Amino acid sequence: MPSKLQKIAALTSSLLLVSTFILYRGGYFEQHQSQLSNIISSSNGGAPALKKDSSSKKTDSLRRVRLSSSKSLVLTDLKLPSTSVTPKQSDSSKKVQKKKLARKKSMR
Amino acid sequence: MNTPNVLLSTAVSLIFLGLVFIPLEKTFPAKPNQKILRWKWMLDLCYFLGQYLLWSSLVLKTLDYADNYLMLLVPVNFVHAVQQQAIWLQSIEVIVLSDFLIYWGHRLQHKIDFLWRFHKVHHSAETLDWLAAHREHPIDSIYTVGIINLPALVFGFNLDAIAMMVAFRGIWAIYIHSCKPEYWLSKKVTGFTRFTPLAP
Repeated sequence: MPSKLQKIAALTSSLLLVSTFILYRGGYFEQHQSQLSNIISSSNGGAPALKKDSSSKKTDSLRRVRLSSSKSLVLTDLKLPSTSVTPKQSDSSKKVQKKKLARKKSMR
Repeated sequence: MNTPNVLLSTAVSLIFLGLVFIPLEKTFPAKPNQKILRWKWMLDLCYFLGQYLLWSSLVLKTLDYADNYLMLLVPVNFVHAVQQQAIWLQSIEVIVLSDFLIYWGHRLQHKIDFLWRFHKVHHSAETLDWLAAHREHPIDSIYTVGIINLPALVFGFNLDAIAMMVAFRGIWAIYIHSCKPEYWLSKKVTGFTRFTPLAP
C-alpha cells in the first residue's frame, strides 16, 4: 500500500509533466526560446534586438494540435502537404481552393 | 515528417506517457495488484506503435481530405466570427461540441453492427491501463477522431489558439482508461469517493 507521501509525489510529478506538455503544446516554450535568443543575439549586451519572431507564426501545413482526444498523436507533429489531395480540378475543387484562401486570410 | 522524426516522436511519446501514468497507476490503482507488464501488454504495445507509426498519417490525410469539403458547408464570415472569439470561449465551445458528438457517436458504435465490428477491438482489452487505451482498429480511429474534430473542421476554430485545451483533452482520453487518483483526492477534500469529473 503506497504511503501518503508516495501518493503526493506521484500526483505532483505527473501533474508537472502533463502541465509542461500542455504548455509546450501551447507554444509557451517557443515564445520563451525566441525571446531568449533575441536577448542573446543582441549586440548591445542585453537589450533585445528588434527581430521578427517567426517561431510563433505556425505554418498552415503544421497542424500539430489537431486530433484533440485521440489516444495517440498527442505528442506527434505530423506535417501535412499544404495542398491537399483533390480528385481533379472540378468546379467544387476550385470552390474549395477559393474558400481555403478566404479562410487563411481571415485567420491572419 | 520523415522516418527518424516519427520514430523519435513515438519513442518520446511512449517514455513520456509511461512516466506520467505508471507511477499514477501504481499509487492509485483501479485494480490493485495489476502488474505493469500485465496480460497482453505486448499486444497493446503493438497497437500503440501501429497508431503512431502506421495509421496516424492515414487518419490525418483522411481528415485533411474531408476538411476540403466540410469547409464548404459554413460561410467564411461565420468562420471569421468564430475565430474572432476569445480563446477561453473557443476552448469551451470545442470541448462541448466535441464531447456531445463523441457521446452520441460512441453510442452508435455500440448500436450499429457495422460500427461495432471495428469498435469491439477497443473493448476487447481484459485489463485496462494507459497502454490498453491505444487498442483501436484503424477504421475506428478514423471514425472517432473524425467525429471529435468535426466542430473544428466545420467551424474553423483557431487550433493554435486552443492548443493547450486540445492537448489536455488528448491526455485525458488516456487517463480515463488508467487510474483513479480523483477518488483519493475527493475523499481527502470532501470525504466522499463518488466524485468523478468528466466521465468517459
